[in-house]
Amino acid sequence: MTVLFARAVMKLAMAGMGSHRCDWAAAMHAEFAVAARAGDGLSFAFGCLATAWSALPTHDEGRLALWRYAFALGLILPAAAILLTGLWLGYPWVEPPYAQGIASFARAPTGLPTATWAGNAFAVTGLATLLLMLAAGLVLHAWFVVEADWDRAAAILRAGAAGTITLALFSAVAFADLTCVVLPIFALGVELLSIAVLRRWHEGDDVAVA
Amino acid sequence: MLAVLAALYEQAPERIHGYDLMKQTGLKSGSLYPLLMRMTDRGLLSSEWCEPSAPGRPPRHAYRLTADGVALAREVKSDPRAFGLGSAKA
Repeated sequence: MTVLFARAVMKLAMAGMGSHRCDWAAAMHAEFAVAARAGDGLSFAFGCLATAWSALPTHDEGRLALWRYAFALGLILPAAAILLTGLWLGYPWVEPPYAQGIASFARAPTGLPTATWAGNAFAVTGLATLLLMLAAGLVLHAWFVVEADWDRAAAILRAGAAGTITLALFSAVAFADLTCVVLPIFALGVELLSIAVLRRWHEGDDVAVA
Repeated sequence: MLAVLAALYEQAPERIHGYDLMKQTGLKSGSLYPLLMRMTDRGLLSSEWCEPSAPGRPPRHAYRLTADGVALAREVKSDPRAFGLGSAKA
């Protein structure tokens, strides 16, 4: 178990070394095999991880990697968490107190959900599934941003945009209350912002993928 | 860095592997490798790949001082106080 954990830590360290230090990464990896045989694998691996991570802010490739992680962990995943929390609380069906809160935040008028409740209850399951897929898409989007796989990140973004538009259209028809698309639109905005900014930095700096 | 310099100087002109250098200096990998990288960047250290000691094992990096590194090590050894060392131990 310790050996497996040490290998995982070492793999993380190797990934953080960057292309300009790939020779050093290979050197550390070779010594890791010796250290592991001597029973020092875990402490050796953590030392290599500290070496790799402490050097990240000192080179362009490392700084870009840090920004990608910051966007994924600080923006995209929290947006997914907000969608999931909304889903847990009954989204896209929004009870009046929540609906009023969201409408007040978004400066949007609220509808009268109770007026269409009975007739359109069938839509809730489908829309909730769509919302769940949007949240899953955000998680995938975060992964591709961290991997700097911009083509796949953009593909997920396009699917997310299509899902959000579908949600908006069907919600408007089923609930007469657009407060239920405020969160997905917010999430879509986060996705658009993150991928546009990161891709511009990536191409502008002309650095290799970390 | 002085401990690494001294260990490599004692070993010169032989090469030494990273893990052996860790054992010799008592430094952890998190301290040793940044030092080795800086010393290499400053031209004090050269590194090369060695053939594996046994089949199936990866080739290892080995280090030795360059001429500049040896000169610095001699300087430290001859005047340790100038480098903040109290005794003759470099």
